[in-house]
Amino acid sequence: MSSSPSSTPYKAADDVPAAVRDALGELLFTLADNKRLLGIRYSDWILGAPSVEAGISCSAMAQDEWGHARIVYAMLRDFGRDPEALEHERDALEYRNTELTDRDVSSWPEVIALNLLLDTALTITFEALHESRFEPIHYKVRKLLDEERYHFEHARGWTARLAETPAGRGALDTAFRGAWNACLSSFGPDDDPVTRELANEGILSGDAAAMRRSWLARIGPILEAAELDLVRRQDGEWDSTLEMEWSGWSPERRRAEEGGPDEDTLARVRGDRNRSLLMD
Amino acid sequence: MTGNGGRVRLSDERIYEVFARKDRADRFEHIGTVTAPNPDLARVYAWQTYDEAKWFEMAVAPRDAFTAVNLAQRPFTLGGPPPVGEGSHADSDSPPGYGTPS
Repeated sequence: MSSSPSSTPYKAADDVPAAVRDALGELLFTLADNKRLLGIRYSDWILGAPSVEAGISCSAMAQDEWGHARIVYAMLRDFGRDPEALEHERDALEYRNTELTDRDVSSWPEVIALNLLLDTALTITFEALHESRFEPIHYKVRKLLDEERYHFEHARGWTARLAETPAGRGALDTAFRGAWNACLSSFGPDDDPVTRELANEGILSGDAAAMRRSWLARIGPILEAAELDLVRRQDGEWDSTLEMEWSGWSPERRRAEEGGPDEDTLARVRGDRNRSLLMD
Repeated sequence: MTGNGGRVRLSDERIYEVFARKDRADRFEHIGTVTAPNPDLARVYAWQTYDEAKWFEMAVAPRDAFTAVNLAQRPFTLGGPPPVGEGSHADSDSPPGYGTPS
């Protein structure tokens, strides 16, 4: 990943030049929504997971994701956004979460696809903020990455487990293929101006293309061990065997243009049932 | 394998004993068990299940890795080793970590 052109740290959001601050705000907004919606999807499986232990893990991961989202939404106040409104008052089309979490998933292999592919994509992005020139994020990212280690191991363990049988491997293959393009594209296109600007400014350690390579390098060995034909290694670099598809991708929402969280998801994510309890 | 409330013991899963200590100066305590198909998942399950304390250190080991020294039965059971395929907390009403007394 590219090195930062300047080492002068930013101690607060106000220190960051306006255009860069806007780009960082966009990225954090997307990350927060993805965390919150992924948390909902984990929570769907607390009682339906294949074992008691796996259900407890879903519960722990859901709590982690909601905690991470809460932290990032709160940060957005410094980027000119109102966290309360973001958390409780948006319509579906205003959400930035990937389309993979718009509705509940119907099988455990699909949960593992979110767990391995999507959760790791978000982690890779937070890792790129780990030594950011924007210092206020350092401590928050460290804590988050600490918790994410266990999400990754859960995903790795279940991928290996399911891949032990032809039927399990087949189900994984279907689920991973279904999630593949959305996860690959979640970083943005190679010429994505948001991550490019942040990388140039030393806020992110790499742009979309660099983060995508990191993601492929992280999950590549796991998919190879599971004999899933989604990655190949050439000259030491991991690459996708499937072409990326960008039609329908919205640069504004950093996800598929169409859709948003479905009605049930939206009600849960906004806390509609408890709206009367919200204080001013 | 899904949709039954989770009370199922998948084939080829093993029981792992979980040990932890809160401080470097403490001794390890046996705090419970998890049932898992591989060490990766045993570690995750242990950490996420037994999160009641801020542990300094936690470790897991497969129950069948333990060898009895003075008693006939393996450690961590109340009434001898459970019959093959039975006796985990996932399919008995015994407290977690202990096989069904025979």
